Amino acid sequence: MSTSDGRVLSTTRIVDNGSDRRRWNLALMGDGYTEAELGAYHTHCRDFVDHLLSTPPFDLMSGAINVFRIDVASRESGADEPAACGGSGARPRTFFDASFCGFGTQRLLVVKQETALRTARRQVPRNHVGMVIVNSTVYGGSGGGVAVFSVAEHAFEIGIHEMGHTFFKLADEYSTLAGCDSGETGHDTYGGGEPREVNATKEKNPARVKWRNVITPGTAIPTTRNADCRRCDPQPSPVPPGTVGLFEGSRYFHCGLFRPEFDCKMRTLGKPFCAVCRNEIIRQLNRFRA
Amino acid sequence: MSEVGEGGQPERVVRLMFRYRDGVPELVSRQTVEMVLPEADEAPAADVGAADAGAADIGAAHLVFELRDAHQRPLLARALDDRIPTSHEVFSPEAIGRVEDPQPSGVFEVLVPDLPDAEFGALVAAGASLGAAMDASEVTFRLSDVPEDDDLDDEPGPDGEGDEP
Repeated sequence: MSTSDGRVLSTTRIVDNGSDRRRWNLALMGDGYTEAELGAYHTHCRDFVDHLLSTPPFDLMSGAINVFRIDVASRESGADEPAACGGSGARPRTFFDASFCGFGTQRLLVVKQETALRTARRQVPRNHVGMVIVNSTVYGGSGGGVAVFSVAEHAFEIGIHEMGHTFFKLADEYSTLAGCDSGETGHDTYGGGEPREVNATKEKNPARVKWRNVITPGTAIPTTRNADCRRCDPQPSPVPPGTVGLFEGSRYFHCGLFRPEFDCKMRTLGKPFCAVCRNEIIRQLNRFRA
Repeated sequence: MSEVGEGGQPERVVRLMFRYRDGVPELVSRQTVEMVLPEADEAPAADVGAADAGAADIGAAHLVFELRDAHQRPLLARALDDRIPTSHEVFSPEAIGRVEDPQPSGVFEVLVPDLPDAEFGALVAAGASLGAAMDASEVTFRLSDVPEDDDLDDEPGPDGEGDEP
């Protein structure tokens, strides 16, 4: 249940676009892989990198990116699955102590963040982002100083979404904190100032919206309004996918905050990043192309 | 003496790691490396030294990190939104949501230029929203109180590839 339950073996640059002094450096770590399972870890890292670098706009920016794979062998395989959350009760001994049921929530897969950050900085001193891939086929993940995700189908999307927060400072675009069916209160209508993130706004005047320069010509502004601010807006998109406008419901509020497109990876995993998020990622990664 | 690099150029960077528990952050390590800094997330002027500014809305920076000189004058300020999160994102196959964390504990890192006159670092709570996570409105650290981690700047890349000659 600690670093005595495994060891760091080596670090390998698996995407090499030049000096790590100049590039954006991603450090991948694995947890719950025994030494005999490191071949599977290598495959999982490769699959994740392929997924990342085929995700727009990272497909356009791959020359700015280095990826390092840190090989960590754990004593035992998998992650903790506490019975309290309906799990199997397994408690394998792993280096980063990966566990589902973080904060009593089944899908919240967490690791010892300090161990992960220290490992990343030691192995990849110039890292900009660290991630831990957990050897479990149960779907789950989490954010924080390092992103964590399992190898369940589609779980790689968690890592990319979290990267949107930790490095690119993108806002969540979903319009609820606890879930649309939770009956939550306090998230009806946003009453604060203008959000700092590029992909959320309270502004309804099209001339002052942050993303006014990329609004699709002829699109109504606002594009959608939520008719009942006590709950999430159930209406389908009135415009084709990819239309940039002003859609109500974002950043944990049913009303009062707007997002640039009807859907986005910062709202729904598996969807593309919206144009505003893509542009911001490109803008920030441009620093690393020199 | 270090020079602050131009955008996109490698420069000497200090990586600071903070640990927070029960509302008390502490500086636990620092490391100096040469790398390209991410784009500066400049703290709005209203947030700098704004512990009592009452920027309580969710749109304001929750936390600001300042590098200060020997006289506690700010040299640089960076917004650190959500570094001490009071909720955590939960991913289910169906949807994304969040679960609240009333007693946050954890770690975070800050990357800043290696400014020659910097002697202190300060974490400044810039909005009331951080009140639940940080006991004091401001916590100041003398940078030299935390020993420099092994200076890794001159180490080769982990696999010895890709570094500049």
